[in-house]
Amino acid sequence: MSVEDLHRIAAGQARSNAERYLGEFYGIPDLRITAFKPEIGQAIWTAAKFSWPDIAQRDFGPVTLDIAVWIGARLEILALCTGHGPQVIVRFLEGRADGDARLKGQRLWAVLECAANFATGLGKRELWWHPESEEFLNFCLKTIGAKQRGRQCMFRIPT
Amino acid sequence: MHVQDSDVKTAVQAPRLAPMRGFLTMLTEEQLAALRAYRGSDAVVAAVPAATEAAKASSAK
Repeated sequence: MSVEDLHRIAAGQARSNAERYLGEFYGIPDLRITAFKPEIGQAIWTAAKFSWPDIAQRDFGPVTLDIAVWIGARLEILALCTGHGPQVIVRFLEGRADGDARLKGQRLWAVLECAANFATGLGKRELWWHPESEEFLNFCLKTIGAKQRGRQCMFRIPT
Repeated sequence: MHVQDSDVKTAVQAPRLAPMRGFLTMLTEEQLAALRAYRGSDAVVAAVPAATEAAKASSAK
């Protein structure tokens, strides 16, 4: 198996594991996690913060995890994570503003669930993300034990 | 069956996935409860690799 194959398989397995776990955790049996696919263009919400069609086209290197979370046919979350040395970084993440109430405040956790599967599968040791607000940054530091690195959060994967 | 050195080397070097683990299983019950109850803003901004950020800071000096 080539390294490229390994990354692709890791991404697929991570999505599948996270889909199963999150569906149960949130009690949402029709929660699905896929890679980016052409249907996203039609399913994305209006006035998206990030230019997802551009992000989907851009080459982020070999260690890339693209995440689309659906409930039924409705697209709820888009995210893109990349791997760098020991890190997996949540580069972009956005949820539907009028999204499902069960995922309100939960979108980063859902993406981190998927990213952690990907990271551990590839032997990586850290998850990084950049909270927008000071309040959310503090929540991540105090509640889940992330470490502050500049304006970003770093979560060290326990061994 | 005769096994050549080159076969052994290939087998050892083939990349393999490590066992996977989800983020939520890495948290305590208390952390999970707090996280699940969170209903505030969970927005993030575009993040960059630390090395890129360090390079930017260095070139700005």
